[in-house]
Amino acid sequence: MNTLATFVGLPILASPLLYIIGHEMPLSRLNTKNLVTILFIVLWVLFTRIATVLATAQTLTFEYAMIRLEINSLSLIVSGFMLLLASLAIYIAPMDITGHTALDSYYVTILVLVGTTIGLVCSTDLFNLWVWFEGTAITSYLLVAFYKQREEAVEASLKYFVQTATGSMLIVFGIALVFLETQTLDLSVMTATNSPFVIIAVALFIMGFGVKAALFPNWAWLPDAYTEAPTGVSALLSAVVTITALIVLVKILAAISAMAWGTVLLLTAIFNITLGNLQAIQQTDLKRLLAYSSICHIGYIVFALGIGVVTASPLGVRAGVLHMVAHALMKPLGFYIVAIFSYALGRDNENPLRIDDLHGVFHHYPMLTGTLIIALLGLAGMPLTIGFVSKWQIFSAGVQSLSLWLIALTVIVALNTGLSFVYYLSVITHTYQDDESATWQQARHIPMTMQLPIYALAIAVILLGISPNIINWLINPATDSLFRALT
Amino acid sequence: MMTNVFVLYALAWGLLLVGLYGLMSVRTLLRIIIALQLMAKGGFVMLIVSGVISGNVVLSESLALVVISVDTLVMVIGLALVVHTKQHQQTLNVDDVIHGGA
Repeated sequence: MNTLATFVGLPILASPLLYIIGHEMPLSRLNTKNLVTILFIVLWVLFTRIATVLATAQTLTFEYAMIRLEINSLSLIVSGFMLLLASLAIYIAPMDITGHTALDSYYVTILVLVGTTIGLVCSTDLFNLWVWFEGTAITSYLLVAFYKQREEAVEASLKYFVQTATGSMLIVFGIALVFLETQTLDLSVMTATNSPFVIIAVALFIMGFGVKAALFPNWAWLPDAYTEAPTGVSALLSAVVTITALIVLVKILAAISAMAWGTVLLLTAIFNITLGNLQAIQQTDLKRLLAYSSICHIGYIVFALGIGVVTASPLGVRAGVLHMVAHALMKPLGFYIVAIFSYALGRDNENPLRIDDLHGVFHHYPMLTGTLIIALLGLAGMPLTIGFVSKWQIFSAGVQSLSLWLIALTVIVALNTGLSFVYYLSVITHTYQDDESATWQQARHIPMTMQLPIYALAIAVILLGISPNIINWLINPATDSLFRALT
Repeated sequence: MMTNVFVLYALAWGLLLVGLYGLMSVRTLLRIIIALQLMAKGGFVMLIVSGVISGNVVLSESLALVVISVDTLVMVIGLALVVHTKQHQQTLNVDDVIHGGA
């Protein structure tokens, strides 16, 4: 059997079966969580097999009837992070969602999200892309509305649903227009043109995928959804799913359009970064602050890719890929620390962890607070973290373009980085203050098994910040494959 | 034949734009779902038009069928959310459901 097809299809096809076995026929030890854990081990084995194949070959393909899948180094990185963060979301879930009766459906829905996201990033056919896109969208609605007793969670999911569904209808229309013009749906054989149909389709795709990728005018759903979703899901959505939509968008635009759409990306990125920062400064709820910072970081990635497209140089693309990796390490770290502190204080989404609650946390949990500080400094772009390395590469790609307006835009982005220090550092100063508003003395004990993954992520952020060259073997081929797709 | 295609082409755009206008003007969740449905219909009529013009009707019709089934799935989830809202908040008006805002 084809490894790639199994890798993508197994989580999707197995999830209803696992739910029925685990939920409806409760055997002694065979509950849904154990079954899903076993399946994840199988997926990791398949992942390593694909990775070993890709060490020598450039791509691995699968084709059956209308279904076309192709995995390259970039999709491999995305799949790897998807698996890693989904494993974490399942491993740490019971802490975030204690006593919830619907946990079984949580596990299997995450499984479907894993399969559809990997399918989305591996697909090369325009229509296949849309079907995978809808798959990720459906599972995301369900996961965002997980705390369905809360009105706010259902409202966040409704917002997400209306916006993403509108986007996906626009995408269908755009696909039809592209089909009309090029008479094929295979992205690899399409020729980029400038016909009116394609111009309309480009606009529809930017609006449609822009909702899922949280690009400038379409990110109204994001803060609500990330605040209301279970924390593991927020980490997954922000670190992988939005980024996947972004990669897919640029891949499609590069294949169909001969216009200067890189400029659109650059301007969108400026709005994302500036408005995201200005909103983040006003937040008092930690999870919401991280959500707005996600908008801002998506802006950085779009900016880097935009520079790569406009100047047709791999520098910007490389910076974008590196920032994707950096963001996928730092943002989940931030989300999980918030989840752990919420657990320690017995908070939930009804009564979220606020920045003021952090007063004095350093004296009680020095190590965990240290990792929170690492995550925030990384997101701000402090030296010695991977966040600094990737931002530095973005700025240097912008300056090396030697075009005046690109340098001007880079300066705006750099000033925004300074602005972002305001809210990240203010959270850090709160952890040191002595007047304890929250009762950290009575805080629950945090089991060591929950803390270990957090430390591993924090060490990765620091280690890659000190010597970023150790992941060159991962970043360089991914940059090559994305750059080849973009030019 | 060609005039028929043109009518279909106009119909597709009409459905899309009516759906978009509906999304912007109505304030009831159920009507928003109906507006989304209109947009979806526009999408797959357009797929069939493109199939007829490019001479690949079989492919485009199969794509339209896939769109119909996937779209139904999406709308079922959306309707489930709407029903849940109605049961818990006794209202379908967007202004009453969305409190606080972004």
